[in-house]
Amino acid sequence: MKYLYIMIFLFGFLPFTKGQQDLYNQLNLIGNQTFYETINRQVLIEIFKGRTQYWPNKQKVILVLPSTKSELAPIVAAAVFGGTAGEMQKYWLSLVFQGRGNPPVFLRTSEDIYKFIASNPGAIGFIKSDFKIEDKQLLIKIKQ
Amino acid sequence: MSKFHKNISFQIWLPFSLAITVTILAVGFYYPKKQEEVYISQIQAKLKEIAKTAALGVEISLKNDDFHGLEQVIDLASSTVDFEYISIIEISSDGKEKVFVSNPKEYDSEKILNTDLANYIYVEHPINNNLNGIVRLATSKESIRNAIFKVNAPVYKFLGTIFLGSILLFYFIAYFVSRPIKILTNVANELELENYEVILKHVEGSSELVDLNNALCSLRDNLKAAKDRNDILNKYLEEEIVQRTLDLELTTKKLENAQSIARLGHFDYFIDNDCWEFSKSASNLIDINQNDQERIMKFLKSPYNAEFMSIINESINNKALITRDIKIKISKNNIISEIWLAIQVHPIVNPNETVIMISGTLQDITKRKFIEEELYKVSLVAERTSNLVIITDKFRKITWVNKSVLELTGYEESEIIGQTPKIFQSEKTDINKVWEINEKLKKLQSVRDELINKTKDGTDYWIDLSIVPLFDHNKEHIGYIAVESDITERKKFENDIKEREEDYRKILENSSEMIHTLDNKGNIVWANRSWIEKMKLHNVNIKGQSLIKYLDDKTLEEFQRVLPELYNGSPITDLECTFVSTNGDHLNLIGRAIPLMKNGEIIGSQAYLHDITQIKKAEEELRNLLHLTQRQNERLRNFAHIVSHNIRSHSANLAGLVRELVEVDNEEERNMFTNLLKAGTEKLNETIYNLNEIVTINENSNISLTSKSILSEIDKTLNVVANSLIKNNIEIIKEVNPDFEVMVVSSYLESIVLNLITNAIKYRDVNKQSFVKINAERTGHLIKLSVADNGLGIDLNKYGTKLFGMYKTFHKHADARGVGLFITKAQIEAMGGKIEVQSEPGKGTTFYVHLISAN
Repeated sequence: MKYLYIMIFLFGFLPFTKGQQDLYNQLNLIGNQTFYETINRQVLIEIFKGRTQYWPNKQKVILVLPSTKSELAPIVAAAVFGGTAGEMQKYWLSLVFQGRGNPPVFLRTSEDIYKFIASNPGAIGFIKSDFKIEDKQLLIKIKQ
Repeated sequence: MSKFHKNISFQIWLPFSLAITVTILAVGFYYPKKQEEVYISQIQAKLKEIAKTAALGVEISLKNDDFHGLEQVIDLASSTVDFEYISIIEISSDGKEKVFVSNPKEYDSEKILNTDLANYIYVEHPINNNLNGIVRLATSKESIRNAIFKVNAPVYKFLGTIFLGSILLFYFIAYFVSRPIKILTNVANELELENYEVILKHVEGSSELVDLNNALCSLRDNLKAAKDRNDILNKYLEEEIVQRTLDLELTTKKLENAQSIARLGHFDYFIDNDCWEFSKSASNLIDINQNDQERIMKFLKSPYNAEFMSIINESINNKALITRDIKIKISKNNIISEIWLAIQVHPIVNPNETVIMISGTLQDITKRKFIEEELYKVSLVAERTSNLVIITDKFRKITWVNKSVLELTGYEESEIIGQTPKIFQSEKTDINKVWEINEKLKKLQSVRDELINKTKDGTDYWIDLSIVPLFDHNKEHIGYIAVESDITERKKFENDIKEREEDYRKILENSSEMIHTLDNKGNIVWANRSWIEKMKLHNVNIKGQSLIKYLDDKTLEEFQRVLPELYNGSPITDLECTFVSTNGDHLNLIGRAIPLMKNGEIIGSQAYLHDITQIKKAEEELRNLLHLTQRQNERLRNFAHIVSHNIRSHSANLAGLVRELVEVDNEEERNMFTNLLKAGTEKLNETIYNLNEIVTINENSNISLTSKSILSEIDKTLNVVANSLIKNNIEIIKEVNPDFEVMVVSSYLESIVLNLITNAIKYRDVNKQSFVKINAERTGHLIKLSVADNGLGIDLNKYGTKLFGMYKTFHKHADARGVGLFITKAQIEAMGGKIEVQSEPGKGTTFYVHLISAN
């Protein structure tokens, strides 16, 4: 019986992680002067949930999220927040309402996001994986 | 000084102060209430605005993904209002409320959904968006009140300051308004107290006060002038009165003093109205109140004082002056006492020859009467006593003698008066004593002595004389009084006692017994001649010496034991003791000691001791002789027993052999019996030799002892037995001091040492490595020689009493004959020594020989 539970857990978890990985495969993480070339997924979630507000160089974190109505929003919401775009929006609503976080910048397209990040040091955000990145230095690898 | 609350300044000040206080309190109470209502309505309006703005911020955030507006709204709300919480409440489709988010984060959702309206004010605004809900914002009434208080605090401080300032201001106003009135009032008070010198300041202000001021000034001046005139008159009158009063008082006082000193008083009796008047001193004498007629009448009608009234009546009836001494009773502090009064009354007669009053004097003569009575008693004693009383003037001329003097001396009074006491001196009167008495009397000292006097017919008599100088009340010497008692009989008795004492003293002094007297500390007070002679203490002052130094140790111990008993009052009989004389002789004494008493206390002891030294010596010699005789008898009995037993056994043996020899025919048997007879004869010879030797030892009771080195004697003997020692492999251990010398008969000592060593060799244990240990040590005046072996040993429990008997053997040894130890013991005892033994079978034997040391 004990082995049965272990098997169920392992096989149940596999599709989940596989799904997560697929979502990340559709996205590229870019950041300007974040001092991260490779970032742990857990650290990434902490940043995107507004819990990390400063980079190690004391540079303020400027979080860039896709607008709720953009096609990128459900992917980012599912990958980082594990929910829908509406839930991601409500998350940030409660955080701002309680005065606990700096509100992120919401932009509609990958191009807008890329341009904003490229021109604002400390900014970080997701763009679509098929978007062509000119400045490869902005790209941050996500560690499994 | 009037009380503060009655001051006019206070009465002016008080109403103003109360009005100000009430106003300030009313403002301080109602103003914040009203302000709170206004503030709450303002706060509610402000809260509504913020709630509305927050709801709008939420709508924009969710619609445009722009949260910056919302962030600014929340910051604005936090800085504008001290809100309790701000929250977004979601309302589900079925109308249920649920807190979506709240600020602060941890605020209790239940409290948000059910806000306490008593303590909090809240407003809410709906959110028109896909999020169906409301924004609710609340603040506490307490924070509103705090905010109001903060706003009002400066106002309160200002009102407080205004209050205190106005109170003080009104006080000073009241003070200055009432000051002129107060000044004028004080001046009026001073004038009332006749202080016309008071300084009157001019007051200004209302015209009434100025008029009053002027009137007071005028009044003061008039009063001052009147007072000055009055003072002059009064002063004159006062001086006059004082002078006259003083004169009168002085006179009265003198009179009273005179009466008081003389204890004298006067009284008047008014017959018409039956009224008595006693002067102060008279009333004091009889202890009544001079103004209390009732008390006076009680005193006069008292049956104890009837004589007083009878004198008064007698004077009235006879119209005559009467003088008499009477005794009355007075009660003072409930104690009734008697006093003597000298009373003199004289009647006052009117022209009609009627007595209208009695005037009299009283004088307390109690002391005088007492002295008179005492003198009477003393004169009776002097007159009738058996003692001789002689009074002289200061020149020692006899002025008075009592009857006893006349009876004893045989003189007539006229023959004695005017003479000096020398008239009584006899030829036997001690001239020296008379001289001493005269010297003391010259110095006005008292004299006490015993003298011989003589009667008129020349008979001597002894007197115990006491002379005291007499002085008058001015301490002037006026004479002497001599009180003498006839002690002739006592003197005779004392002489008899002295003579007897002398007789007894001689008896004790010359007694052959040793007699001494000790004080209660054990020191010698007296010892008789025999005591001094026997203790060889001629020409030594033994008085005060402790007896202890003349006692031997044993007697001292005995004395310390019995002395407490003696000093408890019990005589000690059969007291045996030893005194040590100054030349060291020990005196054996027997006797008794008795305690000496004086006035019921033990003051020492006396002992009567008989010298029994010679008797003790004789007893000792007799005891020694008896002991010697007993020992001799014992030896003789022992010897007789040995002789009778041993000789008879040999003689019986020889008689038997001779009988057999006579009867045998056979030559061979005859030779055998002859040989047996020969052997028996030799044994008999040996026995006789041994007995002879013993007899020789015992006979030589007066043997002469010489000093011999004990070591050299031991060495000689060891040489004799050297072969035997070597042959039997016996070790000799010798620990003898070469200086030890003993008083012995040389041949005896050789025999003793030889016998002990040969015994050790004979009775050795062949199974052991044998040794003989010879030791000598000093024990007092003896040398203790020990000869020890590790041989067979002797069972002393079994043979101890027989060990030194003759022919007693304790081992089956071929050489054991039972003679050696018997002879050894006899020889040792003949030299004044003794022998002892310690032994244990199988372990060995040790003999201890005690011999008299020569050094």
